[in-house]
Amino acid sequence: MIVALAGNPNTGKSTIFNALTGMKQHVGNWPGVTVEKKEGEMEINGTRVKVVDLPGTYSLTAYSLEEIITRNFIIEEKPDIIVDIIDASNLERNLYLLTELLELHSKIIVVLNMFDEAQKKYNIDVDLMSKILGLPVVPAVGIRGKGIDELKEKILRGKFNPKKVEYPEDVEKRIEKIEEKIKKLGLEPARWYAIKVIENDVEVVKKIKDKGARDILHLAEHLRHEIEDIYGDDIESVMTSFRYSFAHGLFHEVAEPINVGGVTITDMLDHVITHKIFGIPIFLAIMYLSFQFVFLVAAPFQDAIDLLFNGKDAAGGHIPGLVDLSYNWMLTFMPDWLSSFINHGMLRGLGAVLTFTPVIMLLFLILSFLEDSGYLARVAFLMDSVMKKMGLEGRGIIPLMLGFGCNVPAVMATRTLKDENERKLSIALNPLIPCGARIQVFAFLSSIFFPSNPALVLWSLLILSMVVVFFLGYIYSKTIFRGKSEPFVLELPPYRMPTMKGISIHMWEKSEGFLRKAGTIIVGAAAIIWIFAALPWGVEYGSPDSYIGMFAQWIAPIGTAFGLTPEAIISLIFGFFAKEVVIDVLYVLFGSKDAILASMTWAQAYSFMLFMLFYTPCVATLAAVYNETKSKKFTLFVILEGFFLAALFSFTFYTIFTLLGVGA
Amino acid sequence: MIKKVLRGICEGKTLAEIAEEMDMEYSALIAMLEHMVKMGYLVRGKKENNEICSTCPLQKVCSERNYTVYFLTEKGKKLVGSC
Ligand SMILES: Nc1nc2c(ncn2[C@@H]2O[C@H](COP(=O)(O)OP(=O)(O)O)[C@@H](O)[C@H]2O)c(=O)[nH]1
Repeated sequence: MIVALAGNPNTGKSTIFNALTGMKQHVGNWPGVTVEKKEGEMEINGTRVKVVDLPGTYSLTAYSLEEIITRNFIIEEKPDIIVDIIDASNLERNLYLLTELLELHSKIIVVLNMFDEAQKKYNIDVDLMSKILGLPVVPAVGIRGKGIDELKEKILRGKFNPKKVEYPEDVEKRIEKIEEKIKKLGLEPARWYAIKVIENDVEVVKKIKDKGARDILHLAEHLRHEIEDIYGDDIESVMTSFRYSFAHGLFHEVAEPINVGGVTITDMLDHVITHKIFGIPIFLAIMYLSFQFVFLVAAPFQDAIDLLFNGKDAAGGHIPGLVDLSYNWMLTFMPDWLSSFINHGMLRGLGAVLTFTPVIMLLFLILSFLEDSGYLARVAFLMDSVMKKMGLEGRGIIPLMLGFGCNVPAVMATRTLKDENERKLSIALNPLIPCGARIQVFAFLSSIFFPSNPALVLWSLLILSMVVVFFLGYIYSKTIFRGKSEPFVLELPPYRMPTMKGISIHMWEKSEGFLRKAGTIIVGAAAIIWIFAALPWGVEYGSPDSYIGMFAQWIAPIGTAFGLTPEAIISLIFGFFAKEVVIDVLYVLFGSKDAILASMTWAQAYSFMLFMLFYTPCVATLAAVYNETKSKKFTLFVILEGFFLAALFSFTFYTIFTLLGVGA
Repeated sequence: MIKKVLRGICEGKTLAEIAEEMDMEYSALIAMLEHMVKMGYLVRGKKENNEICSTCPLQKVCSERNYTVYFLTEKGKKLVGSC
């Protein structure tokens, strides 16, 4: 006797296979392909039974290897019984395969596995299901061995009186016509062959062609067109839809959701979180609280690291930090300029990055949490619906928001948008969304310049960028990038409580990536800046006579209107290569947090941050933009757009606050 | 049912809305979308990675996003008629 196990993937098929066969298993491949084939043996009351584990599939089309293997095995090897292992906690999904199996075989035992989970969701009337289907139905909990004995019992003594999946009369009539001819050809099961040849299933058509029965193919084609005319759709969708309806109907007949309306936690949360009115305020509140948390918790650690590297000016004089100590120590065996380069240049820069580590890690911790829990995907979705409400056509916002992490892949993700204008719209807006690296830099700057409430400052920048993206998106879509929106749908992952391990891994990967980059670049950036600040030979480090000082004097007038100090401009120039470098540059130029703070008024600092929020995307993003559009003009557009916004906002802000006289 | 799902997508409905409207289980709808991908009515929008990505410190973050975008194909659009 041969029993074949079929079922969707992940329904506990292996678990049940093991429970049935124990150690008597044999693993090989299906002939000619590298799909695993598991066979085993068991004995029920003295009857030897061979058990074959079929590949896990959702359907039995001719589109995938697994599905073809499964159906061919059933047709050719003719197992005595098929056991359909169903994940009863996702009952409806699993019933589609059952409808296909019903057409292929008459002796099917339905195992409702994961019955423990299913009972939390709905009451399943097992007897009714068995009656409707005319098949044995066995509830089971594979991991606890529950239901295995009953399954064995049914394998030996189950009663089968299976129901057909019935199609509407006008389809049935036509199936029968073909079925008769197939029977004469000797193909079994004839009804299945008839249905498939009408559906134009490539494998079946080929088989019939090989048998030389061209008349059947002609007839099938004729009948197919008739059905298509009656239903007005292509045959595949008509027939598949009937089977889905059958599964759907069966599901509703036998399963009754436990909580009214079948509301899951995900549904409930989604109603609140993606709410049309409250969704955005909730998002903003979550971000604000997250930022507060980050700065609050990070502050003491940051101070400690800063103290370690840079020491402290106390009443009794300067308490030396690592940088001072190392500088003095190196003076004992190397010239002053070299020690200064190593310590004031590189070591101090390294310290800068390290002081920032707590913020980086905590911020990534929060982002990882929001992402792993499934929240960030919803935010993307929420933004999309807001845009839709605004009557915005181009819906490229989704790949865009998902670029929250990094703009580069987000730009590349726009490849999925087919409409040229919609794609351009998405790419043009993309760099305006602050990427993870930029958020980090803003967090850093906020904590230096606005120690009393960095979270609020960071938060305001985030809001501003969102507003600008919405506004500009609106304008663009009505004017230069008037695109046709490509219909799409997004599968959102269910909410789940992220695991500590998962989050730590994510946080670590992200922080490490960020720090490693900032750490490597700093060596180069520090060296370059130090050299320019120390040359020409003999000038005081960083004085107006040094190259950097001369450059600063030259560039200064350009920045004044925007409140940008020469140092700020220099850091922005370096930031073009990678935004993280802005932090490094400021540290190398000024040496300490306090000196950076002292270098700008708060109005200048905020202007500086506004400028940074929008000015040109980093080199990598621009490269991606060019790569995706292959247009120099468009890439230039993206740069100019950034500079325009940067100038607009920083100028407006700085002017207003200087006029009000509150900037100082 | 296939047409109904496609029409829902065309109208910009979310999967949750479509599932609710059709009184279908969410997991069943997702499986149906995958089936429709095989039949050629939908395509999955893949996130593509390439070398430029590696210059970004956050590349690991973006390669892990757990979402799938489905778009209608020409065949899918034809089935629903106007979209
Ligand atoms: N809650 C529950 N989990 C189960 C049950 N049967 C199997 N599982 C779990 O479901 C997962 C998938 O099982 P597996 O046998 O590998 O599924 P397969 O992919 O269909 O072969 C495993 O983690 C099992 O421990 C069950 O009856 N109840």
